[in-house]
Amino acid sequence: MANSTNIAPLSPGQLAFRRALRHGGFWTGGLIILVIVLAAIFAPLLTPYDPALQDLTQRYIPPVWSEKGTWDHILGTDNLGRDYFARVLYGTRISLGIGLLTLLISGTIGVSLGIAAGYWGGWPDLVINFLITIRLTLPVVLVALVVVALIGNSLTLLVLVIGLLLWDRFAIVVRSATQQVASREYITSARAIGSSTPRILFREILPNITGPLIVVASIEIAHAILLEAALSFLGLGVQPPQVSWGLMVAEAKSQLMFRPWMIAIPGAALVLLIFAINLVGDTVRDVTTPEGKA
Amino acid sequence: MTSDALIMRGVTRDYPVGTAFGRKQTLRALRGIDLTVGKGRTLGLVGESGCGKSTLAKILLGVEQASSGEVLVEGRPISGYGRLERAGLIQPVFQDPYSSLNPRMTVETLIAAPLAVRGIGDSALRRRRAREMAALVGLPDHLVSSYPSQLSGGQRQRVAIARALIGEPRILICDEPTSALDVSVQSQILNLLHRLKSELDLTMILISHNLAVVHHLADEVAVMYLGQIVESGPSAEVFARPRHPYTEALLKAVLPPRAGVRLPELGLEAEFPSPLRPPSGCAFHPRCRVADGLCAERAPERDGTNHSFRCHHPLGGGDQAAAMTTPETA
Ligand SMILES: Nc1ncnc2c1ncn2[C@@H]1O[C@H](COP(=O)(O)OP(=O)(O)O)[C@@H](O)[C@H]1O
Ligand SMILES: [Mg+2]
Repeated sequence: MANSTNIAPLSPGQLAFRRALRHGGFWTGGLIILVIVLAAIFAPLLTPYDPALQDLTQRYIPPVWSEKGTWDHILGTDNLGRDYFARVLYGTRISLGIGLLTLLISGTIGVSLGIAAGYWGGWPDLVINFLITIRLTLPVVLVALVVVALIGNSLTLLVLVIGLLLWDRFAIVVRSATQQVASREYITSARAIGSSTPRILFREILPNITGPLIVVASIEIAHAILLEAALSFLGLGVQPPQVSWGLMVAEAKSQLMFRPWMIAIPGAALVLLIFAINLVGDTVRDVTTPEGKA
Repeated sequence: MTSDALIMRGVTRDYPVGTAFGRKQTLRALRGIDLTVGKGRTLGLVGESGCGKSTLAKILLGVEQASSGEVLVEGRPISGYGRLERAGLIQPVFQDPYSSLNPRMTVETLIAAPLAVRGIGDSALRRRRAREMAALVGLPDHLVSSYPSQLSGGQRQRVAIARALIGEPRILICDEPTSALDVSVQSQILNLLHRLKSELDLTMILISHNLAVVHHLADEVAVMYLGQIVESGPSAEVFARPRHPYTEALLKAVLPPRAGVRLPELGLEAEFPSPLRPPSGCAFHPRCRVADGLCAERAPERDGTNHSFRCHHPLGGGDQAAAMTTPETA
């Protein structure tokens, strides 16, 4: 065979990544996310201001590009004279943090239930389908509102509530992907060599459903970030002195007519992040779909 | 008896299936299998697609359980073996190497997996053993870090064989190991299996829907029809003097031995029956050229000892003469 013998063969995951790199969307989305993540991590290095520090002599300064803007406050200040750029930066931490933490919860629940239902079928499948149906009948925002209103709000509770509400899509997608993989002969082969059930689930099935899993994860992380923003906007999410983009929009809503940039800036940050996550998710779907047939 | 590697007695397997109208039905995939394979022997198991060959294989592998009957492996009931003990004793080679190898694992990992599962050796030792096995089955060394998608069908089947043999099993169950492969590599794989079988002194069941495949390799042949073994015996005898009309029809189908020529039709009139509605009496009677009223009424018992068959009107043993007198369907 005229195989190139020296080059280490690429794994299916690496091949998918190569294909992704040829997508403009993957680059665009990936770069935006990278910048946002770096901004969140290095926020204290990027701005000298404390996002909660009030300076009542410096209220309502417009952004630098307007006539009365100043380089001291690139994105201006809010009604309490807090630096807007610092607030947007630190808000990134809340958005990403909540997105990732809730993903951990919803992903763990959804993947476990989905794999169990897809692999065992029978009555576990019936029970889990019933749970999914119940979950789907619950209006997410309403339930979150009620829980937070009843129990009071903290960041932990917010993460828990969102995480416990957004597992359904994971379960549905993982269930059907698992059913497909479980019927393949390599699962029979794994059983014939004496593999334990956990080994089959984690070594044989899980690596073969990563494509759909990443796609759902991208959808749900965006979903969680938007939900946090919505709840914070309604006053039931992140509480001052913490900063969140949703909270910033809420605090600025009286200024909609007079200082629209106060809403536009956190809004734009939110849109940009969601857009980037969706771009990456779309690319992953594109590059992993044909692989199922390989 | 300790000289028998595998014994099946009256083994049945029922699958519950739902029909279009939601009624529960039972599909009897195996309808009383009696089978004995001596140690170190090769049994060829032949029958049309859907007759229950893979179901039988899965029961022997312990992946499925028999609904009734007895399965003895080296003299002990198969249910008495632990998961790992059984895996160390019996290993499979499956039909489709495009589906039987996990696409996310390297060749090395795939081959070494039986050792890893059983916790044999450390990872360095397992890697070395995997390379040795790869060499034994004729896989070029540079392919061990490849993924299945980078291999040809024949190479994949070699990986499957290496994986089956790395744990030094005593019994190898090959379920149509060549039917997904190009004609040109089929005989390579069969020769490899044959060589390894005698080198490693294995007991082997070679399943195929094609009698020609088992002809040279099998010591004994069992012909299956709709979940039953309708004829079995020493390979040479069954091929020379088929007693069951079904065996005769299968033999006729492989008579033109030219490679690459599409197999002719079986010359059987009716279609293969559904195991959900097995015909009355002898299951083969709607397609049989010698069937009469008795065949439709009563299922034939097993007859003969060494060379046994289930037929009310066994062929006389007049060699191929019987086959020649059937009217040709042009
Ligand atoms: N898991 C299953 N559920 C229901 N029916 C099955 C199942 N596995 C096999 N069957 C049925 O049992 C019969 C025998 O199948 P199989 O053993 O795969 O035949 P073969 O390998 O000879 O082609 C077929 O009719 C098939 O549809
Ligand atoms: Mg089969």
